[in-house]
Amino acid sequence: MASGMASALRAAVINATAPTGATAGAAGTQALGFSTSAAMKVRLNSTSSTATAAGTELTGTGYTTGGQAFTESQTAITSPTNSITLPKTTVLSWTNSSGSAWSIQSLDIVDSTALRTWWGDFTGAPVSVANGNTFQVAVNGISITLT
Amino acid sequence: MPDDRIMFTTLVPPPAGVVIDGAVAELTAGPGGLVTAQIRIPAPQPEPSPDPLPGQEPLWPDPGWEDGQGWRILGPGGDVLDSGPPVELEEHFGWTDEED
Repeated sequence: MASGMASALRAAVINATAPTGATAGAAGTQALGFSTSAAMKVRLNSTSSTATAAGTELTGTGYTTGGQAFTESQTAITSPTNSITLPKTTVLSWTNSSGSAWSIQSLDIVDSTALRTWWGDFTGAPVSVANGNTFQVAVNGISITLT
Repeated sequence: MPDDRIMFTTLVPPPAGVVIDGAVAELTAGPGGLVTAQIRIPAPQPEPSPDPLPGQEPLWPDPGWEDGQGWRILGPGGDVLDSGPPVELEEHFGWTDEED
């Protein structure tokens, strides 16, 4: 299944570690440009996301546009060969009350201002969630890895 | 008529290596002044799961989930209708351990 970093994140990593800062010749220290003041979210899509664009977001009762916020932070890794797994302790859950089935293909992790960071297809996608049923992502059901 | 059942919380000397907390002694007054004592020890509660290190599986499985499940679909009654493995978001830079 396709997955990876959003193009904006790739660029932000390079900018933050090269002399692109506001001070002449200094590194870009803008914390990669992502909001650190509010929770990141998981956005669900009915089509695949790519590095340059998010998939088509789900709609309907039971799904809040923009995605579902993480309720806690995961422990930061100390080696790039480690993975971060999400969510930490609280299952993500959506109950489809839209009146029709959801077809879930992919997810995006976004900051509180909807800037994308990571994206990828669900294994087994598309996942069909009939009206009245609940879709859940397990604790540690999402892993993020740089290799 | 006084209640012939007396309940109170007591400290019970625990066996070596075992901690008993919250044990309750129940005394029942019977014929001829015979007193029957029962000690009820509450069932042990599971320890909170320690936080797994990044990249590790949780040490205490989340209740209701099976190993290897990353997502699932529940019916209105809570029954599991479908499930799948975790979602792996990966970016390959071609790093090796020596380059870390």
